[in-house]
Amino acid sequence: MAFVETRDLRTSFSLSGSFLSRLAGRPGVSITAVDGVSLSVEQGHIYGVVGESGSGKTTLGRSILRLVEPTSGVVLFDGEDILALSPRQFRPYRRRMQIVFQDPQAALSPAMTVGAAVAHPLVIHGLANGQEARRRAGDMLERVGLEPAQRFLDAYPTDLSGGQKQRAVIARALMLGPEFVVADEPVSMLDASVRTKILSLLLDLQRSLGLTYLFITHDLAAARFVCDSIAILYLGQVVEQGPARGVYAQPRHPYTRALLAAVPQPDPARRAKKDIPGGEIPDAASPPANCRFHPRCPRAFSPCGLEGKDLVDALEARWTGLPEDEFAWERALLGGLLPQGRRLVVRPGRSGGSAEVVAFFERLRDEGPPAFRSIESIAAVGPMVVLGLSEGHDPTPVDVGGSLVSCHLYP
Amino acid sequence: MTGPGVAAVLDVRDLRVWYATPRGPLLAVDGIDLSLGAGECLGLVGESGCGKSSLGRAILGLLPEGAGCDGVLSVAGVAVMSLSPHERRELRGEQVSLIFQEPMSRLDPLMRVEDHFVEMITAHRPEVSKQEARRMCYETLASLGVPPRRASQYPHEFSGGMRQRIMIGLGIVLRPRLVVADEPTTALDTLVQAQILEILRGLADDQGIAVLLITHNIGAVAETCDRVAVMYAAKIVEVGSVDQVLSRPGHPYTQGLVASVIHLQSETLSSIPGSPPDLADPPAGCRFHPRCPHVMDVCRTTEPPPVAVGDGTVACWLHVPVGSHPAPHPSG
Amino acid sequence: MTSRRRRLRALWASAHPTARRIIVAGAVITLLFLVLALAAPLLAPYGEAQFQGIPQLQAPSAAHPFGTTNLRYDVASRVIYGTRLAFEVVALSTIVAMFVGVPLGLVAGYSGRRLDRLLVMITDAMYAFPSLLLAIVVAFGLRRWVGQGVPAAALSISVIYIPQYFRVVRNHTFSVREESFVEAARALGARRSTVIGRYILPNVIQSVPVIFTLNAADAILTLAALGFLGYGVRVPAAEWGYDISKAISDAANGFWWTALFPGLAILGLTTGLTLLGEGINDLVNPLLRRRGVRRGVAGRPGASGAPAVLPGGIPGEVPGDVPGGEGVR
Repeated sequence: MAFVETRDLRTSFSLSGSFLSRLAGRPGVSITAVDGVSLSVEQGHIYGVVGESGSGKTTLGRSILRLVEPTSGVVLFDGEDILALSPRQFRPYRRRMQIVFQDPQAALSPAMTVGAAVAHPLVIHGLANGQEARRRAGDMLERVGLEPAQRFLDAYPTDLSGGQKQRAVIARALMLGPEFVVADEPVSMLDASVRTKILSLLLDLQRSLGLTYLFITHDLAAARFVCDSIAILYLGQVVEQGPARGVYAQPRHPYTRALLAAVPQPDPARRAKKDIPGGEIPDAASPPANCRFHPRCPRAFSPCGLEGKDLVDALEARWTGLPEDEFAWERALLGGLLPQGRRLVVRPGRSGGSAEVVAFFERLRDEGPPAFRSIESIAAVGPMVVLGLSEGHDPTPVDVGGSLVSCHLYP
Repeated sequence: MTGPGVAAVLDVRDLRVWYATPRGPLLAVDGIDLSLGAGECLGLVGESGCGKSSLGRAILGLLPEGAGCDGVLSVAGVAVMSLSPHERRELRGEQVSLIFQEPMSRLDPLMRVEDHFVEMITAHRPEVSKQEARRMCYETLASLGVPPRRASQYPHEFSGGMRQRIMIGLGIVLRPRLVVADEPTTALDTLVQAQILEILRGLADDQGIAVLLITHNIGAVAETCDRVAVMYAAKIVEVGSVDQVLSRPGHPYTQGLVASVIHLQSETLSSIPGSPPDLADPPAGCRFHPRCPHVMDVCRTTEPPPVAVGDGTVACWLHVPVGSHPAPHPSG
Repeated sequence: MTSRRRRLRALWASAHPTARRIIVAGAVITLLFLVLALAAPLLAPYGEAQFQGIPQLQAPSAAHPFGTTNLRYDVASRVIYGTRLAFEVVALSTIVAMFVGVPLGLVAGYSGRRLDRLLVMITDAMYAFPSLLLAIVVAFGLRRWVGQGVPAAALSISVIYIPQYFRVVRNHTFSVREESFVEAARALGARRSTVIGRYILPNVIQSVPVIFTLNAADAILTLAALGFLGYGVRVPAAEWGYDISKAISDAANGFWWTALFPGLAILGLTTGLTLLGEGINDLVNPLLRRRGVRRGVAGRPGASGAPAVLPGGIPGEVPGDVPGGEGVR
């Protein structure tokens, strides 16, 4: 049985809209940072959550620890559904699950000495006080490599280097003897030389204390080295998950493939021009329909959920690569572009009528990039031309060679 | 330390950069030689605190108050340090541009993107009409993958990667000879990072611009640059082609640094023991000697000279034949 | 404790000389008045309300260095005893304001939303009221319960300053509560009171001393104004403002000393406290501090007259790579 498990976990935030929209009585937008994430972590394992900024990975970690209250779903910790517990019932569980933060500078109160900060968990739970707590804090500091403890117990965080601060943060997290630790980008703000040292420390501690880690990172290489299993997150959803080495050796989801191709490696042989998908992580408040990666996916096709606005983006991408005169011709032909959900309404421009526009798109559909090939219908409606795209559907996780992949390429 | 026989767009010799601190002047760059030719991409790597950002600032004449520099520093043949502030401002944007880490803080949130371009272009070339300036703006944006029709929007309406492209656009629209990119990808996502690095590579390959990429990310340098210079404690310890420096590093620090990078084929973790020195009080002799696994007596007292190795140079006593080691004496 | 002392010493060392001079000047002046207050019976030549054996309206002389009043009081003694009342009222009022304003600010800043909005509305209303008018109203209203005298004056003055502490602490709490270490405290299972008391409070408290001294300065003036108008203090206690109100008619008749010396006392103590407050602000406020550091001289010993500073630097930017160590980027 898994030690820590989430089932369809969802965490949303509501942002109050602009002043005008509030005035008009419209509700604010809501962002679903974690949108139906299911994963399971075995005891003693290191489970990696890999994603870029905006993927929801940080919120996922905090949701599991109830530092942020999830909106729906289940989080099982050692068999118990911790989301169903009241805050008071949950408090004892806090001793068993802890977190190491990304920014060591911000994770320590500037007004507390390192010793006081590291000893405080014991004081909070009434486990020890005064000299005894200080002694145990000192032991833990030496355990994480801050020796002699005397030098650090009375120091303030500003007296420590980045790596030392992070060690103190780790020490504090371990004081209550947790079994499960969420490591949220524990080394991304540290120098390269310090990074490996702290990672070694984390691995050491995991082995000697039998800890279970949820290792959150955007560093693919570190995740591969450190983790037993990983999940790749994109805009709040898991696109691929499985044994770490397996996913890296045979990435299946186009996003995973793109990430692996894009991550810079100290290997000059990789200098050949790569096919990096364009675009950026979309606005989490209005995510793309169906498969969220489809606007940037080089292999997107009908079931992926292409919409009118994706056609507009595809046209613009096309235009930035065209010579001046061709661009001018096409721009003059297509006077106005009006995306409407799954349709794109085109108002013919000065240089032609709806017949020319229809012909243009028929040609694009035959020979153009995949986005255009997904156009289902081209029809002249009055003076306008309406392009229709088929309804897509959400991809579901499918077992492909030991990994779960959510992509229509693997039905 | 020049690249093979190309006229230098950037020529730096014995450059020193210092800052005034309450503890006294601090040398962030201590006698550096560097050169870069047209169409070349040079990576400058080092950890934080080694002085590489200060070098970038000095090249553009953007050192803060209380800092100074001396040595030879010439960009496109012009000696930067003898220029008046006005002339230096002209130099920036026309001959040399700087691309920063956080583009949002450098763009005026109250000005449309195209106005940024028009203002910059007409400031440097008053003879250019606004219409022409706008055309240059669209052309540059298109070449960087920013749809020209968005040029009338404001910076906050763009994402981080787009803003970085806009910054790059502002940096290249006047066709400078040299672009200095200081950690241009640190705040960006993996995919966007790769896009930006490709753009920088394109500047060198397709537009013949000399690119100096300052970063701590060795992988980025490996995939983007032709040559790399490794900086440690305000000095350059090794320079050479990317191939050579990464696969056959000559300096023990480079060796340790390359070994410590975690990549997709890593099977072990390794790190360099100790930590970089305080620039206010660096070690005597070779600055790396306290952490070097191959340290010798001469290393503790005398600074090693740069020695030609392969297609570059290494500043390490290991590459100097033992017979030529000087009798240990206090280094200058 | 030694590291705290070390930090304070480092703070002092990095201070601009002007800041140091201001603090010292303010401290000296304030201490002077404090000594007068503490040793009043020893230092004052006559009693606080003594009028036996004192001539009326005599100009400053050897026997009465500051002259005497219409009611046969010795001005010098009145001024000295007036320091006592000043310190008493001011201390009481600022402490009460602090102990009400700071906790409210913490609670409002941390709990947010409705409670915050309510408290902000109330304190903003208090803040918007012309301060002296508010003090008078409160003094008048309190007359029934507390009567005249120190408590009444102190309470009415404290009401004015509660919003100040509240607002500063609340705003600071807003930003601090987003910090990782607060989240860490919650992750450790700390109760709300612990989080606020041990993690937030120590980090928002820095602005309070500055407000304290500046409020104290302002309180002197307010007390004097209340005394002048006849509120707040029980006659015949020595109070500078009250004495000035009694001296108004004197001035028209050419008797200048009865109003001048109490006035100078008000000016002096207010200045001392203000200098102290401004000096501390300079010390603690990082922006002002850094300005001082950068005005230092560049150049190494023996630099051959090289054109040193390149202007057009980016203001406020400290070079990202100064002193090594396992840097946090």
